[in-house]
Amino acid sequence: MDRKTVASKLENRVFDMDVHDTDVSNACYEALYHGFASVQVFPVMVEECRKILGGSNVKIAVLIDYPHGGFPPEIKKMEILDAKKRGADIFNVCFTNRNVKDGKWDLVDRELQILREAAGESELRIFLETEYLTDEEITKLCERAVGRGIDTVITSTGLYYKLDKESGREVPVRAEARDVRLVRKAVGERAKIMAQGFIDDWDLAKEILEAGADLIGSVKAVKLLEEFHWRGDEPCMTKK
Amino acid sequence: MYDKEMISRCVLSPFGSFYKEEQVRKELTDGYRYGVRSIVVEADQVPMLKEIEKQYGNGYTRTGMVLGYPYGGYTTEIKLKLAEYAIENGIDEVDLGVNIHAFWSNDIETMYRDLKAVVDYADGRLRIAAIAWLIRNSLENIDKIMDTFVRAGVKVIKTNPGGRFGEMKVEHIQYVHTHYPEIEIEVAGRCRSRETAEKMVEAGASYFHLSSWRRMSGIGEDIQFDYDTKVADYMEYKGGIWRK
Repeated sequence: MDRKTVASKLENRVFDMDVHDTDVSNACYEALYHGFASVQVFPVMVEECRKILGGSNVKIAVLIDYPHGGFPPEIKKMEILDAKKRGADIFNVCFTNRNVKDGKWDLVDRELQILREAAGESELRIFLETEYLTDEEITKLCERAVGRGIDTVITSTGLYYKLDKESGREVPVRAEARDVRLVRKAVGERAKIMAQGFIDDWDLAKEILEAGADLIGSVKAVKLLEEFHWRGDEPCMTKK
Repeated sequence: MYDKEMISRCVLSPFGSFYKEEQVRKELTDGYRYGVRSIVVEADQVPMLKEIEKQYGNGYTRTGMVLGYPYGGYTTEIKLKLAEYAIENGIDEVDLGVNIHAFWSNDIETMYRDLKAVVDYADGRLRIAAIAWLIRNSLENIDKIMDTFVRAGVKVIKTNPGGRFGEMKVEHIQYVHTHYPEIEIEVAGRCRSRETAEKMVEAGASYFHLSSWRRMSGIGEDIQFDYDTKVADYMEYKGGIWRK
């Protein structure tokens, strides 16, 4: 992989409660400068991103029903249409995974169908929340998703912390290569995989990409690229 | 504070993705049976909450729904749609995520307009608990947020969205209650002992949004999710592991 290829696999996330509008604009400029695939933002940030990214190759991915996915599908549809009107290109939708936990596959299928209709020709992604689902549930949801035309599955919302059994301290729930391999097995080449969840160093990013992820969503996209630049697979022009 | 009073001050919210329906139903049913202050759910769980309220409603426990929770990054149009949905379905209160991104961007008027739109739309039909993000803000910022809330007609605040964002301090409650005595305070954010809860009540807090409402009320263990086994169950965290 060269630097350009790595950059094209990164989605620059703008995420937390204390982000400023400068964080949003900077994320967009970073994406333009480095050639990232996209930026990931909240709906209220889409119009600002459009001002900067309009006419460029960098896509705007908007979070829908983030982070819990508990809207009725009809309201998710409204949110997708609203975001589309504001200039979003890609829809990262939090799915109602409680229906997956309960094996309510008719409701799962209905939601997938409504989301697909709402997104139209635009790229539609759903969050799997692999941290909460068993292997069997992940596999079944992936099969349903590709069957209903979901373009990309995202491993995690990248939000949660868990108690570490050794230290007793809270640690972030990070993306795992194991989950990516499981998802790849389920979706085959019928859908793309975006890995997300505290992917903040190149070692983990590399492992995740090698496991079969097409994209990585991270608030540390620039850091990942810089680490690749200095420690990555291939020497870059400026690397001695 | 006796157990019964603690229960009457509890707000519970079983809407994580790991919950199975039977667990949600048990939490909602027990919330009514014990008489917690409020039960807050996601929009898609509202029909279940209303169904259980019909059977177990006690005249005290309020029905709640999250609206723009927690980051408030939804557009005003979607927040209004959710407010409409809450009102149409007979919900009593909403936990409202404000446009905190606008606040941090020093665009307080945008935060105000978004908030005011929901308050005006609700027009008294919903009790609106706006999330104030106390723990992530300086006292100067807390003043700005609270002034904006008061100007928009907010009468209740939720101190934070929850534990991930930090541990609420008694001093925060004292500060807000002293400077904004007309505002009702619901605590959220790692209030983990009865002793702290009692101090917070003395400082001016009214209610507590708790994932550990059973333990805090002395009536058992709460639902926890074990990320290793991927099982959610009533468990106690002891000696580094979850135990049934």
